[in-house]
Amino acid sequence: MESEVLSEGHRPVRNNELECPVCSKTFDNLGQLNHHLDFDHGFDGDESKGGNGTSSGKFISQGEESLEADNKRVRHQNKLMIRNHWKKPSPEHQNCHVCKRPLNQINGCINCRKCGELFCKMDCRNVMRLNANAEYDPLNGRWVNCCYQCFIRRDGYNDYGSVVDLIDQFKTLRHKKNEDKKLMQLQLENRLVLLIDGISRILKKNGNGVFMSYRVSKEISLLERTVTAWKDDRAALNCPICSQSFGLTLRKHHCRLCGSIVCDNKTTNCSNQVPLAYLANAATDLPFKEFNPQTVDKDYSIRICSQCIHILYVGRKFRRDIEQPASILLARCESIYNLSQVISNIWPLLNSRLEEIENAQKQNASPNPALIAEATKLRKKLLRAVESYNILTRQISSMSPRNAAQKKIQQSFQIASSIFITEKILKLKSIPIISPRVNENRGSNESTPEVQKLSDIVFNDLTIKEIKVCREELMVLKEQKFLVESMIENAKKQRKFDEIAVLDRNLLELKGKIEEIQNRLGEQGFH
Amino acid sequence: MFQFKLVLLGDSSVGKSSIVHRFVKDSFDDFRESTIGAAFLSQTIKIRDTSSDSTEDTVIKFEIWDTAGQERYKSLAPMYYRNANAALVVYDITQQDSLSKAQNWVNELKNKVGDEDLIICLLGNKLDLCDSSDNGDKRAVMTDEAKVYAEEQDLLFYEVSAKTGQGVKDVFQSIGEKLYQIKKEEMLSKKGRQAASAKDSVNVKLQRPSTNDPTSCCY
Repeated sequence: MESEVLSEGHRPVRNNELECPVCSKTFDNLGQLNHHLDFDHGFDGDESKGGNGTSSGKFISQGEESLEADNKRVRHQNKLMIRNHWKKPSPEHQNCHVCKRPLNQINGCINCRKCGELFCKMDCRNVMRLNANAEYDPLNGRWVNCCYQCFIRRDGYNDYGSVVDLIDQFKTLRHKKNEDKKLMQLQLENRLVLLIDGISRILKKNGNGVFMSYRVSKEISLLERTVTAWKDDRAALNCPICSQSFGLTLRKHHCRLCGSIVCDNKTTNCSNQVPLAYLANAATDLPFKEFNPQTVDKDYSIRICSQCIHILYVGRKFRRDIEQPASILLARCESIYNLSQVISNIWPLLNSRLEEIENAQKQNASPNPALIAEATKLRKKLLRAVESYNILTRQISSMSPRNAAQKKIQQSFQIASSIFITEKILKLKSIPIISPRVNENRGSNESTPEVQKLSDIVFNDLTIKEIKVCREELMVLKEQKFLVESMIENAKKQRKFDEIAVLDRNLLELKGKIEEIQNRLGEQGFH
Repeated sequence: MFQFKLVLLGDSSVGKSSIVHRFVKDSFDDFRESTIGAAFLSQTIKIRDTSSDSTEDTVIKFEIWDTAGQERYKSLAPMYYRNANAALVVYDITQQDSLSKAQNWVNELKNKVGDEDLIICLLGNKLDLCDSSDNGDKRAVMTDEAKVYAEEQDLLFYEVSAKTGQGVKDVFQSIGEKLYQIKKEEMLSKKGRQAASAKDSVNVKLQRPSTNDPTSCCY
């Protein structure tokens, strides 16, 4: 709090009077102003981040100003919210508007701030944001009680919550931030070019002589200070990046690009001595004029903080990585992904065709040959896709990864494809073969189904619907078997042997029935 | 001691399990979960033989299969009504369509089992929801309607309440008596035939009758 008053102090001090920077009220001493700011304007938060160590501080300040203005507006409105639409308790209005309960001490007696009707406590529990005219204002309004009807009738209300469109706001903020970032980058780039060119020039001019070194370093240090203003050593107590306090062991260093004072801790990596050649080679798009990597002393390096390196080089590295062609593994992974998309797209199509055929079959209508041909084509396509999926999966698992990242990608693709296979390929088994002749080699994917008759869509002489019914029955029977088994266990514990006999008989019966249905289902049962 | 297999059938949530629990454990749960598959319970009752001169009570045991009413478990029902001695077809007297479901069950039983000796009992449950005068009558199925149907089809007919327990014991008692009657006649005729075929054969009773006494070691 103290720092805030100080930073804004240069304005109010006039004729020994202090003026509030928000509402222009005057005060006799700092303490009063402080109190006024805290309680009337709500500055008791932690907004004292104005003195940000980095040069990005000035960009933030604008946002803070608008926040203050918002706060001011909201608090101003609170006091002025209209009440003349409020109904007063009277003989006509002595019951709750909704539940008709009498309004009294126990039930409560509250006006809905929006419609003004009188409600009991229970029926006026919703809250919404209203402005001074008791209108819905989702941004600047104050949270007040309202009735359920007003609550659900407000603009943008949904059962799952209200919708407030903040996209434009977000866009402007983001745009602003991006502009700031670009500006910052441009500034740093210009400084880097100036610095590297200048150092190269100085080094070239003076040659490599040992006794020149003092003059050279002096010249360079002068150049560095002209490129960017160095921050004052005395003001810096902590490293702005890692927040450790400077001392005998942790020395202060200036970043040659942004001028801020950072530490040289090897573990936090706040700043580094980076050779000029590295800096220039990593940013070849910058217009260096004097710099020549062959002639410049390769050992010469300048100190740059990690933030500047991040701003300057992360984007460049990313762009360069993208330009490089993807590795074989990644190419395979991409094609396997495309294949999985193809397979999942064909599924619903094929299923709908099969359903149409089945429906036609039910109505004993003559089969549509085009439909069946299409279904056959789709099935072929699906099988081919699944086959190549299998091949690709095997290829990916047989590859030897070059680094840890590739190994991770390989592993996750192996997991994903195994899940995909168990999901889809198992379903593949339940696709009816469109010809009974290929029933024998159903297991292999090379089957070439040909349509002969509509009624051929059967498995083990069961239609799809019968299979469904049988599976359901089997499931119920297995459930019951489990139940009876647990009943037998219970009966054994309670020594009810005559019950066990009955249950045992039932269990045998169940097992027989389960076996019967499993035989009927054949391969279509659960395994 | 005689043992009889008894099965409960009917639409879901008519109160089959509640009736059984009222009969077996004399308890009622307001929030019973719906039955999965078929549950097995057993209970014994005593029957006084009125025709014979002995004053001793006969104990008969019910093996009750309480089936689930949900459609999903319908395929299980045949296993349990097959070889059953009695079937309780339950409907809810506050739900009209539960009666038609019950009628479907009766038809299925008559078609599939076709046993003359199978005793089918039509049972209207939830009587407690109807005779409370202050809370409004929720009855949707008139007693006469069901009674006429039961007489047509030659079924036993009762209206009960599993919640209050009204009539539940009587149902099982009368079914037990009827079953006992049938069994006795059967045995008598068998005996008669046996006696006719082998007059001199000596019957040795190998099985000692169970005492059904909890204090006894052979309980």
